[in-house]
Amino acid sequence: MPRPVIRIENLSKYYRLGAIGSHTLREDVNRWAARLRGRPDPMPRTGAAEPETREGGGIWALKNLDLEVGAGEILGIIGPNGAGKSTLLKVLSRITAPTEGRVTMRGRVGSLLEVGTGFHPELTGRENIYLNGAILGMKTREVDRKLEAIVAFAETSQVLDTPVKRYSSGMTLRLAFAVAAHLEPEILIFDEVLAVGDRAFQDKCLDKIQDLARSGRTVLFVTHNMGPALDLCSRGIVLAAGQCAYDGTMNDAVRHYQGCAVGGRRQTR
Amino acid sequence: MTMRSVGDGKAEFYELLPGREHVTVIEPRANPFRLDLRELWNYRDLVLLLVRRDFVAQYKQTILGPAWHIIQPLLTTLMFTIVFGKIARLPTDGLPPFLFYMAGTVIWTYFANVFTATTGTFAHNAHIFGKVYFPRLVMPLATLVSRLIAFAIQFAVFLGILAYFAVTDAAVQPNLWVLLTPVLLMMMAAIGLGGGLIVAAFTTRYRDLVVLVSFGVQLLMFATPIIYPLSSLPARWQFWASLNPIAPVVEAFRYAYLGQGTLSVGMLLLSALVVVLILSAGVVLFNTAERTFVDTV
Repeated sequence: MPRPVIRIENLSKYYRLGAIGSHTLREDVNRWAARLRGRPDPMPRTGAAEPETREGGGIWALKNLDLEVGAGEILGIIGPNGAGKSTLLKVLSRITAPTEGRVTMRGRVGSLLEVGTGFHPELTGRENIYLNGAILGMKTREVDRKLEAIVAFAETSQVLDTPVKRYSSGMTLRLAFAVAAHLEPEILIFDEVLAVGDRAFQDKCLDKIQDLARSGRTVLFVTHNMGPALDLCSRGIVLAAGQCAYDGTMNDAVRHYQGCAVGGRRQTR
Repeated sequence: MTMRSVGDGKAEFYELLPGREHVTVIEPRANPFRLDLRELWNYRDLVLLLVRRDFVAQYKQTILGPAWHIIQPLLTTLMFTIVFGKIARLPTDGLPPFLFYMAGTVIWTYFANVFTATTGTFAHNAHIFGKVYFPRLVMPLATLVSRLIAFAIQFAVFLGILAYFAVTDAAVQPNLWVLLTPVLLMMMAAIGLGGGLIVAAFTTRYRDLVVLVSFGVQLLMFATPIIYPLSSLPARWQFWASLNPIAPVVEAFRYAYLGQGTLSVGMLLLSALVVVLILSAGVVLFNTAERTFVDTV
């Protein structure tokens, strides 16, 4: 196995159910007041019988996940809804902290969980390239250098100084993907972003991803679309209930996943 | 999420590569007292681009554009002059009421804008914070700078009006204390930022606070000597009123430019101490809240 660039050790992420988002100051004040007077909680938390033990009232989106990814690998992550795929990418992208465990990553991480995050409709394509590049971690000087390549890749040179709100969704997508593809991070993380865009552009993106991997970069992506993207992957894992249910070649992973899905359906009948 | 430099941990994994390479370690708990200034500095370009975005996007498709920065404080000042000066006849330390209210309004507006915008950091950026990582403090810092531009415009107008009054009215005497302006501004920015960060951290749990903020800012203005001079309060109240860290700053600002007011170096120092405490508390609470806020918003 090549030199590991991502090491995930015993990673778990817990989400509480019910109580999330139901907080208002009044409820908490009432709760404190009741506790002071020794009365039972007037507004019991939904589903959280034992909030201390972290059981019953929530979901382990990831549970004791261990994984190592080597440099230059293209890892495809598949699995049913709620298996923890997006949560895994969110933890790796440092959007939310894990509940337990540890991740170590070597090199710059570029993550594209959504296409065009931070694009402002009133700003022009050019302004948005700079802004989006900076959000993804690029310096202005870096964008200066890559501007031509980005615009050429996105095929949007004619509308570069038009506000993005006038763009078609395909144009916005191309521009956004172009920025992210030129970030040149050592680790690139995608979530389902190729689902949009026409076939020709999808192929272009896949070529770009292949190029990135050949130059020693590591690519992780989540997909539901069992299409051409899968042919790229040098390795595939199946996530189920927050754990790695299968780890091997992409073809075997797909077979395993489809086998499980069929098996699951049979059981419910 | 913690960032650590190369050198700790397992040897084969951290084996050095040529050039600078950074290693990211993601763990459940990070030290909330740690402020990664180097990382923030690396994102300085983002701060500037966000400032530009705020400025450009705010005035696209408006008729008056940046002129709003001038109209707003002028109208507020005019209203204060009529309501509090002419109708309520509040004292103004012997200064022309228009100038008195304008000085207070200009510096107060900076604080109020920074504070209000900072409290909305999580609420307004939830969609971005939920999709991409960058140091979250970048957003409030960008706010601080973009409001500073608005302040500069308003301040220039204030200076113009001050010049007129300084010639025509003997009571108006700008003095060398104006050199303290950068310090006073920094204090206002720090209170707004620190207080805003504290509230922002709690808004991830308590949505009620969002409603309270605009209302609270209004109340706070009446508790601060903006529409009245500190000297007009009874002596025993003056001490309590100047415990509000904003009060000595506003009074010092007015004393410097208008020559009348209560300038107390002791109170300013005490205020500076409180400001440092508020800012530190804000950063710590914000750091704690940012780690899992996407799960609760």
